[in-house]
Amino acid sequence: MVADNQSNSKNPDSVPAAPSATYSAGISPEIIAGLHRRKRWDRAFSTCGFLLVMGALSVLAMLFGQLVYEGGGRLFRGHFVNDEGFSPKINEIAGILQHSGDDFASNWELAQRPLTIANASERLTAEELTSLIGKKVIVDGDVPSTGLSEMESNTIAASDEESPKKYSKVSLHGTLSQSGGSWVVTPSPLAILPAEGQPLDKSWVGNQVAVGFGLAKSLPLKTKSIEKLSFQNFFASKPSSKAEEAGILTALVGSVLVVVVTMCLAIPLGIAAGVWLEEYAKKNWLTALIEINIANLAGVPSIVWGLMALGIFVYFLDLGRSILTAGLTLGLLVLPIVIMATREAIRTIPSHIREASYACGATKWQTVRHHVIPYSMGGILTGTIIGLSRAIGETAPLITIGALTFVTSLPAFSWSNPFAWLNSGFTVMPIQIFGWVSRPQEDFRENAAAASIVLLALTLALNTTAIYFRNQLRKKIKW
Amino acid sequence: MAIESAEKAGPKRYQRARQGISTRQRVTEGAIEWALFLAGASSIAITVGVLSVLIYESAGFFAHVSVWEFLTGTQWFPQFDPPKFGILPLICGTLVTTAVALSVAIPVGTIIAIYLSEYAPHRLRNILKPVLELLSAVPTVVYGFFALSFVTPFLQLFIPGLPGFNMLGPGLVMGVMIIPYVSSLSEDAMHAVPMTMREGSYGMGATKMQTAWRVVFPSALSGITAAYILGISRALGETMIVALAAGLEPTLTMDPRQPAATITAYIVQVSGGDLPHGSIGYQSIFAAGLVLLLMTLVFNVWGYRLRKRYREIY
Repeated sequence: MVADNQSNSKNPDSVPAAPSATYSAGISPEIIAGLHRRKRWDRAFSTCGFLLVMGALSVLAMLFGQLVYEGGGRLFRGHFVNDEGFSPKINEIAGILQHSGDDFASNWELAQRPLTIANASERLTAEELTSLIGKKVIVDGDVPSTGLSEMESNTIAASDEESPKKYSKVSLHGTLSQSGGSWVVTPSPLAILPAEGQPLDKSWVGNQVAVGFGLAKSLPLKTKSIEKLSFQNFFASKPSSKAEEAGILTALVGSVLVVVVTMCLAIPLGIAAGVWLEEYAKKNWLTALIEINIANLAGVPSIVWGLMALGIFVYFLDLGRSILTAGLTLGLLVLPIVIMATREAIRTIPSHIREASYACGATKWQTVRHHVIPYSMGGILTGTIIGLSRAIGETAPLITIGALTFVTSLPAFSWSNPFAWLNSGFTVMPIQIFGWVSRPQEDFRENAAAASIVLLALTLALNTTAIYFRNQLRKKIKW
Repeated sequence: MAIESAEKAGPKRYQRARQGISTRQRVTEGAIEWALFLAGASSIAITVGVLSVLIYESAGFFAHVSVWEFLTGTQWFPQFDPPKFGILPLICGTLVTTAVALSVAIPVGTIIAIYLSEYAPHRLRNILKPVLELLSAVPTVVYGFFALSFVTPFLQLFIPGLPGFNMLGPGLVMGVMIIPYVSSLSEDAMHAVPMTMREGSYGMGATKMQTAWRVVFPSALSGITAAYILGISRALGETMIVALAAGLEPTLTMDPRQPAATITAYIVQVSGGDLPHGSIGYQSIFAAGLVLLLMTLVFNVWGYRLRKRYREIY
């Protein structure tokens, strides 16, 4: 069959060619033509099938491409956190920042180019500057806002109306380095921030700095050495009402904790139920009922699980909108997947394995514990990983139990009460994404895309692992 | 003394071996069997839990709203005074998005299943099948974002005047998500068709395509139908894609280009806010959930029956 397949698809012309040459004398040309036509349809259909498979997969590629396009950059950006109050006076130096380019373009890229500090050594010795190499510095600058009106009046007018001052305060984060005898500040990504009280607007700051440099070519800027300042990337930042400062730390931690609870419920219960159904259950109405029931539970829409959890866990058992509630909900949702995987895995074990165990005098439970469960562990693991990936990506039931809240603190852990975190509020990755997508501000879309990349990568990685396990098992196990 | 005890121990151990397992072991065995049974039976408890919550809260809802009004009303405005609870707009939204999804998933899924089962070389099939299944592993909230930020703007290029929220975009994305459910199960069913039937067809001079459509497809029909039904049930219960991209306004329309809320989207919308426990709005999501559960239950039971049947045939 397989060989037949390949030969057909590889040299499709060989078949019609031969009969026309050999049998044309005996067979009417209509039949030959019909054969040709049918073969053509056949090939067309095969191609169509292949193209559809590729088309379906290309949707996955487009999905990933779109996410990377919208949020890829956000993964690598972050913001500076001033965790201990640093004093700007300590290491204040003055220098002149000179823009290296000549072009007058007022755009964001321009503002991100490295800046040279001219006559830096007037205030700071060479040794002191050398000690700052590679460290983060903040450059506070007064960018002249007068004279800009001809250039970029539209952009800047709005912010100048309130405070008609001559200079706008801008600070720039970057790393100091030395190149060719001059000191250079390379701005960090998202480095240029307006001073306190100014709105955070990428284009505005970009314009301010770039236009300022363009006009003045060189301008005085004060530099602070910042060691207390820590850079927090997207993964290490907590949720925030500012899009650029928001991150997925609490969501990641929440996802991990919820999945831990989920697995603690689903794995033991699922394996036990699967073992019972395959090894112990007698063929009677009760077993049949449980079987059809499990098959139906697998098809229950996930949001219905959320409604059940809202009614039972949140209000009836009064567990609150906690990690425990979320974990139990998802545990029940994943349970049918684990049960089915366990049953499939146990079914592949031939009965002579069990008979050999019984023949040695083992009891039923000993047989199950020492033979059936260990041999089916691979299959169970595969099913469990798939269940895990489902639990990580599930959103609807958690929204229903009321998880759509603004959580900025991580669950606290203490040795005196090691399970206290079970009762704390939480947010998880999909909820975070949903929250960001449904915000009206455009900026949060980028965050949503970036978080989606992380979530997608996680689930795809889990599924690929499961596929890999399954293939390995198929190769290895030959009873 | 020591010798005596050793002599006694000998026959005792021998006796025990003859008796079979010890009492303690027997108790353990029994206890474990009971524990495993309880785990198996817990699924029934879960079902009872789901149903009782939905029915209990819905009963509170139907004390205020008559069942007839609920099932036949064409307006769903829970926030109005007096509120209007006619679920038809929500059911309509659910059915339209499901129809759009199925119009993608069923043709594409079937052709892919036939290609994988009848045409693709063995190795290619073993690669493509799990890779296709990744399509259904993508978190639905990510699909929802994709529908909102890519598919709808893309469709707007071809359909001028398409609103930002519409049922077409999320429906199509949902269809792509369902393709693996349809194709994998259909392929399993086609794979189970015995080779002799194909060989008989080839022997009559049929091409692969003729064999696939006229022999394999009808033989595997019950399994394929089960796959379609699973797809329908998935589409009915899908939540995040429609909640994000189809809009949240209950509208009674059959036009997929219009925005409309589905049952699931309504539940998400209400529970995302902060409704007081026991209020009629709170109870309404359980009534809506009950309708959704019954809709999917019909398809699930039907699909389960069909799956069992095709397993038994071959």
